[in-house]
Amino acid sequence: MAAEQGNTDRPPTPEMPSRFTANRMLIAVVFIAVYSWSVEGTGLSIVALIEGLPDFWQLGQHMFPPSLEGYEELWVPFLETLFIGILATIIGSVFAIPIGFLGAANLSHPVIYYPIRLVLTVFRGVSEVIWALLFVVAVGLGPMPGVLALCIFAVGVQSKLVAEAVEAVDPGPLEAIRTTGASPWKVFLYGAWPQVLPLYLTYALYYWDHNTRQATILGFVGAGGLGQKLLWDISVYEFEKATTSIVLMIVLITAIDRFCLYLRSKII
Amino acid sequence: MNNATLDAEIDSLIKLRQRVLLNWLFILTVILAVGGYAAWFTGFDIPELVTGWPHIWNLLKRMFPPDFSIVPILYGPLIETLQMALLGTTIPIFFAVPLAWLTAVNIREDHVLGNIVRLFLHVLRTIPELLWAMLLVSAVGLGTFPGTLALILHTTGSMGKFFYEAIEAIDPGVIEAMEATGANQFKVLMFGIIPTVLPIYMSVVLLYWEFNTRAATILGLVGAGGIGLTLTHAIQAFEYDEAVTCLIAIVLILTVIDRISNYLRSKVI
Repeated sequence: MAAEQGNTDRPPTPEMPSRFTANRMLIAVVFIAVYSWSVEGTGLSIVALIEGLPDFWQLGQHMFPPSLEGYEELWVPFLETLFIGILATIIGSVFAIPIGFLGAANLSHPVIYYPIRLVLTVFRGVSEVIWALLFVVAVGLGPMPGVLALCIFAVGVQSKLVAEAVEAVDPGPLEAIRTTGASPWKVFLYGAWPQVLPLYLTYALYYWDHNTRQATILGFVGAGGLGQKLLWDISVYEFEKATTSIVLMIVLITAIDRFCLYLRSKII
Repeated sequence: MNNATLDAEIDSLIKLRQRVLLNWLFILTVILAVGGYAAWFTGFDIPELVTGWPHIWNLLKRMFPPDFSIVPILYGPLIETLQMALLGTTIPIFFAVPLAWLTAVNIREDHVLGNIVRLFLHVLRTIPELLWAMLLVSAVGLGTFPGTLALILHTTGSMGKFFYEAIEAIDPGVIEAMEATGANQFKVLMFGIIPTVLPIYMSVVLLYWEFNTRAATILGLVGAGGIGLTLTHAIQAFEYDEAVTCLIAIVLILTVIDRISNYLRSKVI
């Protein structure tokens, strides 16, 4: 047909390789096996979901309508959550600069940066909530262990990000400043720092957002904030009050999220 | 004449520099003031940390050396954690993809429905997975089932956002070109949108696999199964050397998943 219509110059269509290669089949089989094993292990199934429906419905009924009774008690936990996030972000960001520069392979010495990296890996190795759990044991209940937990994790992540930003610094300007006879301090201040600053601010803002989210749940292990109030409400079955706390959490997280976006658009 | 303009220029540059410095000074003052107030409000003080040091030291002494005799009983919870993370990452794909398609503004005209879906996704992801877990545990009881559901709910919200943002970032030319050939919406989706966003989706899924594994390790703190439950029990029983073994196990599996995920990412992208 094609030849009759004068399309002889068209190259023959290449043979399509089969979609069902042995390799892909193997991957699919392994995936299905792991998947069904997981479904069995976690007890997640449509049946369980349907059986759970009345319970979910009952919980929903308990939660709505939200009760405003005792809402004045929410102010302190609300501000506590906000301030835990702010404080942890400030402390984390302050520590991230020296540690980040000391942990960068291009400006630091292996004797310094290998140990620093190891410590940072441990810091961000476990979640904030687990750090909070440990700090609650060490320093007692309240917002203090929450701040410490967020700080440890934030230092771990932010320092690593700063170190990566420093390693990505263009060496040209540094060298140019060095050839003018500037001291290492000035090389840092006018060569490296301006290149790292925008990234640094982006990370700091991102971690403010992140820390606020985390601060809302730290209370579940006794580390202060809205989470602690929420845990209390749920453990005494006052779900209508819990809903009010949850709504407040959503408002706080959304507000900080928007504010961070706004600040970022201003900076960059 | 020439000198005068140069002087003026230098003058204005100096002024600009002073203004920038003043701005920075102002911002730093505000941050310091807010930070100081925050420290006061949360009762955060360093002296207390220093005077409490013997207590922390005591805790550390009780944590080391780790008690490795409990390793055999950790396998079950660890596997549970991995299973929850796997399901909590893969099942949301089936919800997030259609929801993202419903709400991406560049391919859908229906903004009412789109905005409702967006709000829904926003609420899903704003509530942390630990809170979802706590609510679901109080509804259906302890176990991995509420934990997995919690991961699914939170991940659907987060993935949905990444997914619709990926669709919205598509070059409009691709869609226009396809529509010009007379392709219907389904064909535009299958052959225009999906191939374009697939690499991003895959990297988002891998990201959430890591994220959910990390989250699954803490779900046990509210009774939703996994290694966190073992950790909480150890701490509540004051068996801190056992708790450290749990922590080591957590760090190990997180590192392994991180490596696998990085390897897969380098493969698919």
